[in-house]
Amino acid sequence: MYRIIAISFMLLFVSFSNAQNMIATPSSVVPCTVCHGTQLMGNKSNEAPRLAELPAWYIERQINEFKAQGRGVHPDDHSGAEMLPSAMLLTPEALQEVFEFIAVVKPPQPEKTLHGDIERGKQLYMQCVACHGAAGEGVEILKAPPLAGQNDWYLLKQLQHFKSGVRGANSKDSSVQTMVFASKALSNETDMIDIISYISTLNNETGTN
Amino acid sequence: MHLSRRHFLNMLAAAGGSSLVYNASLAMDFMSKDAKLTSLNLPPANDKNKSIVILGAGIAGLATAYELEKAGYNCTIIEASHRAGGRNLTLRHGDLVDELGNPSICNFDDNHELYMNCGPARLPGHHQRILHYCKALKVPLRIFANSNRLAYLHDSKNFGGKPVRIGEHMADGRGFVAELAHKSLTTGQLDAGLTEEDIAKFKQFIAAFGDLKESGLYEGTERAGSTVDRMLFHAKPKAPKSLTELINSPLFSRLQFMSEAYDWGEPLMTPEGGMDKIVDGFMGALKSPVILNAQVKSIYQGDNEVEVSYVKDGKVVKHKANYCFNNIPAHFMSGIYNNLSENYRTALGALKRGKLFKIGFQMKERFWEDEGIYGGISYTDLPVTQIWYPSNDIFGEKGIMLGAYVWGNEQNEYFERMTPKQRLIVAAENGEKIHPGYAKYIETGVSIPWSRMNHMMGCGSRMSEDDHKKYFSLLQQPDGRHFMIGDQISYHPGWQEGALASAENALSIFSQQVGK
Ligand SMILES: Cc1cc2nc3c(=O)[nH]c(=O)nc-3n(C[C@H](O)[C@H](O)[C@H](O)COP(=O)(O)OP(=O)(O)OC[C@H]3O[C@@H](n4cnc5c(N)ncnc54)[C@H](O)[C@@H]3O)c2cc1C
Ligand code: HEC
Ligand code: HEC
Repeated sequence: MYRIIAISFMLLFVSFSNAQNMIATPSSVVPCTVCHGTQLMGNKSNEAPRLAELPAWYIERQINEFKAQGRGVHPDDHSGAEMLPSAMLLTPEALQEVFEFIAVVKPPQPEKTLHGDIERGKQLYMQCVACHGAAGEGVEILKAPPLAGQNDWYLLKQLQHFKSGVRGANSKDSSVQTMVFASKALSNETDMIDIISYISTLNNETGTN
Repeated sequence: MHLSRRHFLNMLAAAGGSSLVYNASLAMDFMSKDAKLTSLNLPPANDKNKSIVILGAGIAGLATAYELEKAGYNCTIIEASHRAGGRNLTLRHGDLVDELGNPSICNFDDNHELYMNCGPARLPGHHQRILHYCKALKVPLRIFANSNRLAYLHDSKNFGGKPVRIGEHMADGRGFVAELAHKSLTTGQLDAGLTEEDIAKFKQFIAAFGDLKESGLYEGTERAGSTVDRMLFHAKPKAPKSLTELINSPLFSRLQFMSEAYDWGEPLMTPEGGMDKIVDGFMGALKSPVILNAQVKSIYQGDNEVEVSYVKDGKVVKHKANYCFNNIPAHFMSGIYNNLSENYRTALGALKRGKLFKIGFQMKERFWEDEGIYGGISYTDLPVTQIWYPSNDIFGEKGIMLGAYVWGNEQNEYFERMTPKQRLIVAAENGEKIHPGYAKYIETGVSIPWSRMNHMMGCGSRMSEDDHKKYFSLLQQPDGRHFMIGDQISYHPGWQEGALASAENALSIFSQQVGK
């Protein structure tokens, strides 16, 4: 009981101090924050993920993937379709502003919404380490993004989408196919939730940039 | 893509269901209270709690500021968009169409009659709160035609795909129902508990209802028009359509009853010159600052105050006030830093985004008037679903007509996924099926997918039945010094009356709280 109170005080404190560290949004990034939230923290209601931890190379690849209609066009990709027009409109200059903004923002850690078997997840995560790194930090040469620090609900949806062919099926990019292939190894949603619950424990170490 | 049966049912349930709820509240006494058209008359502000911050300049936010200001509070309104009004949006020549990823400029001619009400367009007589503000703010209203017997029901799969005048369907429908009732009375199947005299009177009613012949048969009626000139000859009604064909048409069976819904009961009203005249009215009356282009980023409550931060002109601004009224669409709240209680945040997260879509076309001629149509709505099973004819500027040179008004998630997504240009092309093709030659009258158009509009991302928020039971009453109460307002906090999302009811509810709880 006392511990819970202590933790919630801490949360309150963290939140207040984060408000103090608020970075003004450059004008070209304002539309992104409408969906992706304050300081690009992610917004579950809008199904728009956290961008604050993503490296520039990965964001650029995804924007290009949207632009090439490799993502966001599958009839069942409702959230991807919502992102698509914003990617189409994005100029290289605006994208640069996004990168500069992401380099400085530090939103608080995402809230956990999934509560699977962390130990089991840790075992299952072995299959992902080679590409996403032991700490979920991502591996640029393999084009595999960081997973630590990402919203858990978003990771779950992406795994489901890779597995069902909603994401990646259209892509002409061979790196994307490696992930499509990796997703097939996960037999069900429990596997996915367990892995993601484990990935969420990595948040504090790599968390913010 | 056609409207599915489920979609029709949902539409009717949405309309019928919510008006039932509203009906019940009217019965409980709101109507008698509001009928007096008095203002809220809040008790005067006390010095300890004088400063108020209002987040979002939607109708609920504006009304809240208006009432609090009158009671002597110091209000500040912080609004993310370049304009006040939220979903109360009227587009005219040169206005920004602020869709995320697809911004554009409205190209309607520069003429005060050429405007499009992109959100709210009509006000029924029993929405006494919004009508009260129209009166108080001196916003001139006029009658708005919602249903029109000469408009069409267009079923692409029945009646040869040809549009049928709504009045014709109405007459045939009533005629057949009346004939059946007459037969049942005659054969004694429907007479339980009726005396012979009752039955005779009931038969009179039935005959008048369906315009039956003396024989009790329905053989068509001149209520549906005539095949010859009715001034120079005896009217000659068309033969009725076949009953089996009629009942196979979802348009006949369901959509013809759209304007039976309580909120669409004639006569409706609309502000002269555009719905945003109400927003202009509030903005003209308010003395409090309305800070535009200021997106709220965080909301923190302490013991005696609320601190809000927003970004304005490339700077983070912190603003402190004693109380906060929050008009921001709830789905944005999970992306805004805040320290609201966990329960309250879960409740906000249970409010889901709704979708609505409209297209406005500037037509170079008012061709519908040549078909006897002056205002009202045609319905179709094609994706555009509805076509609205303008009630204003009859015989004017041009007109803005609604080329689509679409409900339902799938139907909305179908249009959302297209580029703005593609949307107009599809709407033009659909229109051709109802009015041959339609496309050649189109000069320019705009599309408004509400779940893609900047700082809105939805309309008509909803909760699952379970969540509603668990959470809704929580959101109708404050969380400390923070009150949630907007049509989302009413049983009537998608109506300005709901937005105003939420403001009224919050203000009455607030004045009890600070009065202590
Ligand atoms: C297609 C359509 C048809 C409709 N038809 C009718 C009708 O015929 N009659 C009728 O009465 N009603 C109708 N409505 C409903 C009516 O538009 C709404 O009920 C009403 O306008 C909602 O007002 P609100 O106070 O809830 O605020 P909203 O309009 O939801 O305003 C919310 C405000 O918050 C602002 N905001 C968002 N994010 C932030 C942020 N981070 N910081 C600061 N501000 C922010 C927004 O910009 C906006 O101004 C219709 C709506 C639509 C979309
Ligand atoms: C209309 C809402 C909306 C807007 C505006 C928007 N996004 Fe998105 N974005 C989304 C959604 C929803 C997703 C998730 C797509 C999915 O589920 O596959 C997404 C995904 C992304 C991704 C992929 C993330 C990943 O981990 O793969 C990137 C990168 C991104 N957005 C960048 C941006 C940038 C930069 C902007 C501003 C220029 C922006 N978005 C504006 C809704 C939006
Ligand atoms: C062979 C390399 C490889 C392996 C193994 C692999 N991934 Fe990936 N993963 C990728 C690549 C590459 C991408 C980026 C795909 C793209 O660009 O669309 C990716 C993307 C993802 C994403 C989407 C992230 C985002 O921000 O949208 C998730 C989630 C993910 N991987 C989870 C996993 C999990 C869990 C495992 C283990 C079961 C795994 N991956 C195994 C290469 C791999």
